[in-house]
Amino acid sequence: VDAGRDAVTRPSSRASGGGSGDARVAAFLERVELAAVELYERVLAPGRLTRPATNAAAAFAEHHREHAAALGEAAGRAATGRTDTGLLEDLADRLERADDRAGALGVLADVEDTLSATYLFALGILEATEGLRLAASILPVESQHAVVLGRLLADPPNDAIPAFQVTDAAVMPDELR
Amino acid sequence: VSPPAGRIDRRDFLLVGGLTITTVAMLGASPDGTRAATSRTPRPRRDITMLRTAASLEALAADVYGEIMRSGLTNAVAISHAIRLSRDHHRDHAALLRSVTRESGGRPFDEANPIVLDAFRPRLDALATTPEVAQLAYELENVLGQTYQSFVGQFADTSLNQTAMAVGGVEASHAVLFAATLDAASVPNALQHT
Repeated sequence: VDAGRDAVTRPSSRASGGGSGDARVAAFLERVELAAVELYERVLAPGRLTRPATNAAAAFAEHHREHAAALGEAAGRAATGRTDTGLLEDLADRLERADDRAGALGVLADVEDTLSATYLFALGILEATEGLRLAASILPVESQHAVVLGRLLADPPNDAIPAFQVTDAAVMPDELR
Repeated sequence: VSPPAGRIDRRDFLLVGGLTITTVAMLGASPDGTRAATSRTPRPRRDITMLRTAASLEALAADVYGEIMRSGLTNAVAISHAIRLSRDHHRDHAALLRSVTRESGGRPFDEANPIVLDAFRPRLDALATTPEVAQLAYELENVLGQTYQSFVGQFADTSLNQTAMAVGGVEASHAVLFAATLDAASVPNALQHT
């Protein structure tokens, strides 16, 4: 309950500019999704994962492409269509150092946790209903990705699923850091 | 596409016995907490109605899982753990939602949603196998997750959007645990639909 309360009471920085603020948030989320796609593509190199994990990773990479496309559309002229791996820099570094299948899969699970947290953060700064609803339709999918990856790692469910989603692992736009 | 006969989708929550959730399953925010809300409910009363309804659905899920645990239908380890974990989470969710309701000036709703429980009862009573339990739990978690998603954007207090999805995302995660015991896709779509 305390964790849930943290999610409730954590102060949210509000992007200025109403609708244009939402467009910037959507553009930021688009870059995060494209960064996730890039990380997945690195892991999908032949031989890095088992077949079941490869199948899941390929499906999830496609989901992230779809998320990026939807966010790009929501961002309108603010969309960049560009990957910004700096947003997930720590995870990219960890992926480079991962020397076995479990290590790579663990990084992907953390990517998904980061994405879920980022969408929860975004729900505190988005203003228009359209953007809020888009974020709310993506967040649960990222959470589900994390659980599937955790299961492939044989993580106990208690470890893979906290009682509340929180924003601790969120990446944030530079202007809101 | 309509769900298979006897299955649950969110519309069953919204249309119980042919009446809409605003007159049936939604729990009003009047001082005595018994008046049904309407679409004209002024905010933040509408916020309180959604919080009370969410708490009642969490209590429902916790009660349903508690009943299932007592039934002895969850002998398989995987589903037993999933049911127990989900029940514990739903209790936590209900506690949070009651607390937020109170802080918002509303009277917390402490019990399982009586209307939805009545609608569930025949199916709950008919459960006979572990796969049937898994199927019901899978559908219940999806309905809960989609219900939270549907609340987003409707709150006058915008911080409640985060509250809703701090819980709603977890319900979607629960669904994966039950999907794993069924012949169901764990993450069937790129976007969760309501």
